[in-house]
Amino acid sequence: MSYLKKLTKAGCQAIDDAFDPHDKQTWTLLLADASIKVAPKLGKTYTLTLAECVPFSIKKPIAVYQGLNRIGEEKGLAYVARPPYKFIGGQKTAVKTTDVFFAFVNEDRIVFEWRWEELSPNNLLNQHEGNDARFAERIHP
Amino acid sequence: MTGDEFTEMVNAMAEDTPFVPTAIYSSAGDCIKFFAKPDAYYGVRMDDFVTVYRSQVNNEIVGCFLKGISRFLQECPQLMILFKDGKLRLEYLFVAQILTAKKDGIVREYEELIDMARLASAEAMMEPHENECCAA
Repeated sequence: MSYLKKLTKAGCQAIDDAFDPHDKQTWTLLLADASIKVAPKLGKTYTLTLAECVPFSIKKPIAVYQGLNRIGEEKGLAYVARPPYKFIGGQKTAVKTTDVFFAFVNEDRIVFEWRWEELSPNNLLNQHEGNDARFAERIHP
Repeated sequence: MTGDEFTEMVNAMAEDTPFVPTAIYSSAGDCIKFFAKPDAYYGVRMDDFVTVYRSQVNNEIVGCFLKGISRFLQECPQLMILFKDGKLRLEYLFVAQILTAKKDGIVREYEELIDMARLASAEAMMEPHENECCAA
């Protein structure tokens, strides 16, 4: 498998110390400028989540899945993490044991969606969507 | 930049500014994100098209994530008539989706989303190139 470890792209910010699930080292993931610039309009909770939970999750995932279950996203990645805290009402709040944070990455390595979900971190695959596999393959750990 | 530098940059943007209901199209994810309220939220998958954002405070729907937008518009080319100046009204998109939904028992969630989108006059700008923007 051959790919560039470091990337840049016009209109995106590059985070160069994200976790690379292929060799367990680091690589670049990107965030679109537009998705960053809109944050203040969406409030302090959204902005702080983007600032703190997104980089945490792409640096220290507890699991990474490849293959989002939809056409065109077969090479996408889902980083799953447990940041030490979350933000509610703009304030740091303790996470619950069932809280997990997802960051979804497309095949161009752009992080395009992130959110908290309530799951058991011990059995993520298939748990959330009935009998449909949510992801094709777990590639880390 | 490093993740820590990113955190520092975005933290500097965190202000107590008024929340603005917003719909964002992302070509990177071929998705629309709609935020109707500023609450912290959990994503809860509703069907193949919609993941609703539910408040972590009171479990109310506060927004949603719509995926596979281009494919859906290709499957329903009639929806192109709903575009005005490149913008797509979300309430129309929800109505179209519920007409084609394959899953029962989700009508109430769609009704809520339609009302919220109508109230916010939510529309997403569909750009052919990298991201996004919108208005609500």
